[in-house]
Amino acid sequence: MSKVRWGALGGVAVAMTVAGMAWSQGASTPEETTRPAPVMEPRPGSPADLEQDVRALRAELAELRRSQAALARQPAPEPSRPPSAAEEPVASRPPGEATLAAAEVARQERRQELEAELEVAAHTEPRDPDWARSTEALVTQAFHGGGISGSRLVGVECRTHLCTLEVEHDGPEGRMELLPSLTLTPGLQGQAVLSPRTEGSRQLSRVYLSRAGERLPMTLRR
Amino acid sequence: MKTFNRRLTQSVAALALLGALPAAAGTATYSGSLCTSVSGFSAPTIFRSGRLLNQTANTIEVVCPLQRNVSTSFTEDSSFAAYVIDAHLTENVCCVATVAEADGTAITSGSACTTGADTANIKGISINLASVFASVNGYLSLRCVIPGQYTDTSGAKFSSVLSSFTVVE
Repeated sequence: MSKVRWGALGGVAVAMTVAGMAWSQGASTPEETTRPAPVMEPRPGSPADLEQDVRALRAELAELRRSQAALARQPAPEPSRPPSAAEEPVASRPPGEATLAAAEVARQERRQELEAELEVAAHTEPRDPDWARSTEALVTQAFHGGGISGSRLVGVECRTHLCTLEVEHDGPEGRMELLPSLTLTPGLQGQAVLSPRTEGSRQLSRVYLSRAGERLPMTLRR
Repeated sequence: MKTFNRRLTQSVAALALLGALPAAAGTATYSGSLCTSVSGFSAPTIFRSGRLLNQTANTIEVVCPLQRNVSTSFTEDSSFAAYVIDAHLTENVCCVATVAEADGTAITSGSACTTGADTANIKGISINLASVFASVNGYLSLRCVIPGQYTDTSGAKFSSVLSSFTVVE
């Protein structure tokens, strides 16, 4: 009887162990089957997918920077002309500097383009006599009233939307502080651009000033 | 739980990678407390909120630094805004935004002022600069003139305030 009981208990224990294992496998199966294989493509929009996109964009950006640096290092398109001394340092600079040098060339070109547009407006715009006279008087007064130091007004000419000022500076300090002081003058609160130049020992600036509240006539690239 | 942890880790990693990308041109807003007085001994008062007040009797002028959000590109257009309280009945809050080369030469600037007075409500001063001609090392700054305290007929004093300023490049 005792043997029979122990046999039955052993059978029950074995059955419970088998059932327990089957249950635990069943419970873990869904997770195991849904876990993506390492080689599987990430779902679109998932973090892993975004990560891949970021890596790809970074690689593309690095490639573009390399191409830009290579273009900056190329000599001017005249095969017969030997590279000038001014070009030589650019070619020997590290890529970072070459990229900056290329950006600086592009900036100067764009700046000249916009200044040329301002010059055209300054020469072709019709003159609004009332506004031009009163603004020229305001500009003259601003220079003589003590609000602007270290700079002298050589000439001023206003049209309808734009004034051009010729200014001579005592030193670099006068040039540095000119625009913030000038545009704080009541009645002269528009946009201003300063184009510096040196004639011998004279430090000069040409200032373009828009009508208060208006934009300077420059076509912007959006 | 494991799946949740793994996804959380991936999300954090992806966000960290995105955050490491170079900052693109955009908007940045700063509190008035960053501005520095350039009016000799007249000093502004800074409140815990980060607002800058002129509690003196005289006009003060402050200069505020701005971060340029560009690297090597030429900035065609940039806008500035200052959020102020103009409490003075006869004077206005005026600001000048300037782009200067690294040596300090201001090469582009624009300015604007408040109109009228309002002792309670914030006003926006908007300035647009046509083109940021400066090279990559050029910098932006904002300079504001804040009138002194206004005293009304009953003797009550009202201060003008520079709360914050914004740059969009």
